[in-house]
Amino acid sequence: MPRKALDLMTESMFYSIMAFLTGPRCGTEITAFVEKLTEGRVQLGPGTLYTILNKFLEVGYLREVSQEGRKRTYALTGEGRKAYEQELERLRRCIRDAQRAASFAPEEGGVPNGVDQDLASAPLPAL
Amino acid sequence: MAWTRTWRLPPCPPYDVEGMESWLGDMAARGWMLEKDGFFLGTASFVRGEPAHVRYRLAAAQKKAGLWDADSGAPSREARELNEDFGWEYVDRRGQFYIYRNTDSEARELETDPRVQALAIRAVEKRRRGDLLFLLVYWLLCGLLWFRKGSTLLLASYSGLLVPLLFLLVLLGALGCLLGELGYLRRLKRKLRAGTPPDHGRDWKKRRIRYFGLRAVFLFLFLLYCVLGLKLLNAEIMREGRVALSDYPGVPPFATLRDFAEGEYRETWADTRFDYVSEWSNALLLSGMQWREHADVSRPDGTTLRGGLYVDYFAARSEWLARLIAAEYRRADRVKARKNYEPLALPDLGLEEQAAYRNELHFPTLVLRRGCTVLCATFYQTGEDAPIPLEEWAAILADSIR
Repeated sequence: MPRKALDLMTESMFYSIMAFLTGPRCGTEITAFVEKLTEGRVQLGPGTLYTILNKFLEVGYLREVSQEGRKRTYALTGEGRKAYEQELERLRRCIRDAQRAASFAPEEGGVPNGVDQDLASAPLPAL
Repeated sequence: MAWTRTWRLPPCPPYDVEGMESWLGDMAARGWMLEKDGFFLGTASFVRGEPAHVRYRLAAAQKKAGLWDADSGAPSREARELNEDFGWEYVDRRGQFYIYRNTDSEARELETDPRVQALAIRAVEKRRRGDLLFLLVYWLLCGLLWFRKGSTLLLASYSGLLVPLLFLLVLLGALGCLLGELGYLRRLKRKLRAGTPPDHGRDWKKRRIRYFGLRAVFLFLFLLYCVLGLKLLNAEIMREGRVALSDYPGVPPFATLRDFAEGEYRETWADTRFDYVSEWSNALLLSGMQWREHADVSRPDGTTLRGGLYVDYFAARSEWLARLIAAEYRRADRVKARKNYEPLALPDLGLEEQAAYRNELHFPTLVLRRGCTVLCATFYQTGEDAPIPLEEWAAILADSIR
């Protein structure tokens, strides 16, 4: 029976899965990777990371590749990579939409059909 | 002398993540640190330390704690050590949650993503829903079997309403607790899903009186049920309330073996294990009586009536109740007798209800009702020495309650 894919991909989950793109990692390496990559903006709590790892193992995004003492190492599976790429594509679309929204500014006369003038002139929400 | 250890009753249930975190943090601020594996039989043990700002956090347990788990349902080594790397020390498990603490106020939070935490809470919620379903199915099946056996009203008519009602209250209380837990977990999950972290400093004092009150009531009802249940069991084992037939000062409100035949009467056993009478009354019955009699009656013509008469007599508080008791008695006997159950023909005795059948031991049994009175009698005869036909002794018994 195919495992059900996750219907949720939070920022912590996205960065956790990103940590495996370059190869297998263990828990502490993931937190270090995410912190370094995001320059401290995203910090993974150990409880959060453990839940994410378990969830990813459950849905088949990760598999355990080795265990040395207490250190367990995981690697990304094909399903995990697919889920990452889908999320990446979604985020790219968000960015594209945000960029297109800027081009709809009223001073450039670019209000598309059906878009309210007030809404088009409203400031963009922070990303 | 200053106390170095103290025991406290937690002011909130094990699943109240925010209340527990807040309470344990407040205890630490007053210098009381939760002892390692400090929860025992619903109490928490604390040791005296320096008042400090200690963060306590409850993490949803990944698996259910089994009674035979060697690790008492503690978190996996990997989880413990991963948490320790960030200063989070595992202290104990309470219910479906692991308790961690951190003395370093600069250390990062155990849970940094509420929506991921919601996933862990959802797992606990799912597990508890399974428990609720199991409990419901189990008690539903027990209830069905019990009702099918037809002993509920009979048991209540012997024991009174208090014990069955207490049992029902305790059962409903346990189900209510589980429903309360599920409700709390659902609310917490929604809050976390919305991206709001738990309120680690929630005022736990607000709900403690309600919690302690409900807990005390539940405990009282449970203990009362245990005590009364054991008392009933003890009365049955010790044969309390049984009076030897020879010592019984009254006259039973129905016919007995002496009325079945005239002659010299001799009790077979003269032992309260076999021959006795017991009387009672309760909310359902004005009076109830169990009559167990084994005797020989030597008739003047030289024949002997030899046998045993078992009578259960109920003077119910209403006719409706009497009808139910008579029906349940028949149903219980039919279920017990299974294939041995055999209806017997009986002429009209002029009562409101009458039934005759062979019971599980293949003995002829009568269930008679007149108004609020129900008489259930089994009479067996040994030997072939002029036995009394069913019609005759049934008529004698029917006359006695008419």
